Amino acid sequence: MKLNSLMRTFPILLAIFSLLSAEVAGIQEIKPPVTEKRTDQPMQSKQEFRIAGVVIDAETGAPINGAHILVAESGDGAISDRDGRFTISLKRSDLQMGQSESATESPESAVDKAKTSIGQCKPTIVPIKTAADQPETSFVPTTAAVGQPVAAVNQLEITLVVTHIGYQTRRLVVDNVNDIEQLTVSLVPAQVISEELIVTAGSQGRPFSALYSEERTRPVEDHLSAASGVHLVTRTNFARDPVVRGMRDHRLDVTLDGMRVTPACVDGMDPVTAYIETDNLQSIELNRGGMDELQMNGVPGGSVDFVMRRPELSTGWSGRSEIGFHTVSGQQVYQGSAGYGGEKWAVRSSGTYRNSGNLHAGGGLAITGSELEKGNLTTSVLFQPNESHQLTLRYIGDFAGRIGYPSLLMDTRRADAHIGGLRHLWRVNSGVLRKVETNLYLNRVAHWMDDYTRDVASREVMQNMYMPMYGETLTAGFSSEARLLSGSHLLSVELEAYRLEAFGDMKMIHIDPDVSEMYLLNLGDLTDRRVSLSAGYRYFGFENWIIGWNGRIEQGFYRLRDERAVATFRAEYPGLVEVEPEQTGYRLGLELERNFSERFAAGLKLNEGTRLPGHMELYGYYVYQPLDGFFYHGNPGLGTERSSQAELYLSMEGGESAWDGSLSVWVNRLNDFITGERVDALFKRYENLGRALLTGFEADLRVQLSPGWRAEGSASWVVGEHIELEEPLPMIPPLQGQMSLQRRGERFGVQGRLRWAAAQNRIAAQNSLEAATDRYLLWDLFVRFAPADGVRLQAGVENLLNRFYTDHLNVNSMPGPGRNVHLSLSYSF
Amino acid sequence: MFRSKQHFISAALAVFYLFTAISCSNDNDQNDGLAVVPDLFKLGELTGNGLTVEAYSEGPLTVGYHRIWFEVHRDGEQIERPEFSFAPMMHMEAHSHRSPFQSSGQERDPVHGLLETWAIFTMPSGSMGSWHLELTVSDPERGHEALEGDIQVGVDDSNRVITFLAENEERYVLTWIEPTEPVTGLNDLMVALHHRESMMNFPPVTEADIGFEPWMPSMDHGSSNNVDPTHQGNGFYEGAVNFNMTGDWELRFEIGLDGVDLGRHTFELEF
Repeated sequence: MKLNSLMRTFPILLAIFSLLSAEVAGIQEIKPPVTEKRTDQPMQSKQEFRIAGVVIDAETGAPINGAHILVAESGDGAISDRDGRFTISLKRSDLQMGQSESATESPESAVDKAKTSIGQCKPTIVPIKTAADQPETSFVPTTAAVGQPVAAVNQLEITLVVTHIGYQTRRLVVDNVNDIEQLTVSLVPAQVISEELIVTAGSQGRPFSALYSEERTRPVEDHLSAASGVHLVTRTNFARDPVVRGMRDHRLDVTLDGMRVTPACVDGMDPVTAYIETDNLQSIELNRGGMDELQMNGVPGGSVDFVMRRPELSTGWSGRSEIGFHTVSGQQVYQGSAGYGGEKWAVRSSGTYRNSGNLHAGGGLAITGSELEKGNLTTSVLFQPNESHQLTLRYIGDFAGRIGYPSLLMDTRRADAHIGGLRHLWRVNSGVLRKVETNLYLNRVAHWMDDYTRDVASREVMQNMYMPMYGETLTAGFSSEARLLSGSHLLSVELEAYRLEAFGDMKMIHIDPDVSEMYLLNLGDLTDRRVSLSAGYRYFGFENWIIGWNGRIEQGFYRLRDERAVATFRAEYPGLVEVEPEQTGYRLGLELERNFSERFAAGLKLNEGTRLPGHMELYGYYVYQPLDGFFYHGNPGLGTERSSQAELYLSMEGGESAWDGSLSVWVNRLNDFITGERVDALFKRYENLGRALLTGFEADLRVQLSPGWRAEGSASWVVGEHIELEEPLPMIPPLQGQMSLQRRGERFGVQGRLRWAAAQNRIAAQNSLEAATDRYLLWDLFVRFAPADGVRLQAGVENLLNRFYTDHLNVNSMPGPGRNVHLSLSYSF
Repeated sequence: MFRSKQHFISAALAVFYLFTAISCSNDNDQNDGLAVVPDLFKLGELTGNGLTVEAYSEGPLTVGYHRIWFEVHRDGEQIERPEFSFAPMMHMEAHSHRSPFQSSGQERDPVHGLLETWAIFTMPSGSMGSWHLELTVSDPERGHEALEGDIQVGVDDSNRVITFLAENEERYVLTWIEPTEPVTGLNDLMVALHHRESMMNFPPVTEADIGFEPWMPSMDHGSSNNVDPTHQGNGFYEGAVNFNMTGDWELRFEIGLDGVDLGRHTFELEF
């Protein structure tokens, strides 16, 4: 229990520096890793030799970038490159000395020594905690270098410690060492990664760093915003909507642990982020542009998958509680969890309660009507009868009481979400088939909103009218992905099917009781059924090249079950042939990557495909869009939207350098762009309207300044233009980014962060109500203090100078939060 | 813009007069063998000289357009092609007047097998006056007029007829006919326009240009894809109206005739 407690206490990035800092050494604990001996190596007497090989995922066979390979006896090491390859040069004298010194040490202390030694010269990523030992099954026989004379028998043996975030640590003992050219080390994914919520993005694969990433009382979006290329649409002090490379809504797949959850509010008050808490999550995985080599989205924006936290096996009883407070809104957050992990099954339950007053902007301006209250309950049960099969049952219940939306016409009165799923993982660590992961899920979201507490007589839109609205969605789905590995060929095949039922309606009640009540259907009890088959392939056989392709075909079936809605769309579109169309979409992609060295790589991704219209674009009716002040009508006659994307990226990762970074430049051209076409002064219809062109870049840079200090910076930029309308696309973020400097120690950590954004003057002035926004620069400061085992105090000040600012994606130019002093206290056992 | 709001005392109970106020006969025995059309509303009957005339409508009469059916029996036997005429007449204290109508009913409608005609009631019956269906039946076999009389009917108030004085100093009757039961979505729209040449003569207006727009005053918007009514014959104009939600609607018409602006006229609708 104590071991678990310790391991859960320290974040991953603290462990990264554990090899660098003397104060960390000896405290970081790693479960005894698997130890093997190799005795089939030819012997050699030369003083210098090298070990080269590749680190791969045991389940998928995919190369692992950034794995750390340490020679415990000498402290030498290397970091695998993008192809998983590594090379370590060793001196026999060093090994002999190391063996002599460590002859009486336990394996753990030997590892610690190695970490201490190597930590002084380069950064390392070490998982804080790994699952129970697993027998080694995938150690590939090594091949000795040929042509070297065997002069003498050498009795030396070395221990390789191979680590990577998200994987179980491996220890390989090789005796009679000599040159090794083709050592293959497979790592088994860890069941639990860390206490931190980690954000990863595609091929870069590195976690984005924030000191508060262990705070589970923070909203999910705080963690998501750390990733470059991701922006957030803000409607209130809650539930911000992710935007990736300028794409959102139906152009971006936002999923919860692979499950599709459909918001119920037709006005967009409840994106998926409204129904999850940080405590529900283990990590957030981004696929910018949908061009990841093996994942294939049916949308051009890519995907954001919130990966749920799973119970841990063999941990016994554990628990955690955290309270948090934010002064900028008077928000109180209470969170607690408890779990039990046996040998074959584990369970974990948690709950979070939030209660917030009005948000205050910079300068102290109160944003009235931005209060909120909600609760979240999560339970997960994991059953692993053997090493091959694992079942996970998950449930999230989220219940909002009242949530104010000052930038919209109405407020949420109540919102209920029940999200459940069953996941089966079949690990096959031999043969061609490596893994099959199957998901079954069902979720229901119900959302009530009204404006009974608003001054409807004074507003310009829908004056003198109360508008209670109700929305409900039911989403059920299935997905199954198989990964196959044969030699250097990696193939992923996924079949997915889901069904969405959606309903939405509203009343309009005039404040004059003599005016009769009005009623309309916003979503006329529709069904949207999709089935898709996608495949991705990568070939690693070339020395410096990786090639890959992927493809996807998708079929959509739509039904509108309320006859009133059918009549409505028949009236809106008299020439419409089919109100309930069937549509087919496709997507094809190609990737080429050239590795120039173990650290430097460049690649090109090409992607072409079509997106099926979303249910709101097809059947949404009379949906108010605060961005442009128009009411939108769906259009069942919409065709698919075609996108052609290209991305060029450079990556500088791994190796001995303290510098890591990446740069992606991309362009996305959309034909038959689905957007609103003005009907009159009040209404727009969705149409396939000409072409849009988006282009931009993301850049990340991480520098290990010293063993204790780390600097990071990121920036992203998007430019969007509608070609036919000859004006910028609306809601496109400006050039913006962040920089941070942090130091993480065992008990104390500190991070200073600078968030900045340029002014955005490229606005859709003719076709929206979008307003230009000014540049801003905000200072944040975070500290973390662990006074005792299991106890953690985190504090910080965001917007330190209390600047008044507006992020460009804030709806109706709602100002951003002013100075926010936050505190959180957590205890875990 | 002319906006007519007729505020008269409701004559709801008048419909029951139909069953008691038969003017020319009290011979109830002759009614025993007459079939009542099950899905129609019987307005009343006129009996005399061995002849019986029954009048039907789709329901209780209200101000507006109504289809009216007749059946003529001689000694209990249906006369296949009777000769009769019909006209609505409003009897008031000071004067009487007719309204637009179709007199003859020689063709039998395929659904009910009855002689079909129509009338537009331009005002409700009540204390100001009462409506009568004036009937004349000839008996070809006997070579003379066989039966003449009327059936008094009750007519409730509604807002489906607007009688207006135009800029040309002429009076017109605009009648909203369809939709009778509006639904969300596209509805058939039918109006009738008649010229009140005199108190007794209402010829159809066949050359009018009618612009149309539905409007929700409380929401301050209309709807799209409406179709302006065009003349289909005998003063009847057909178009389409799109109701994109339920609630209060206005049917706004703008009428022109031979370059003369006949004004803007609005019917109010709630469903």
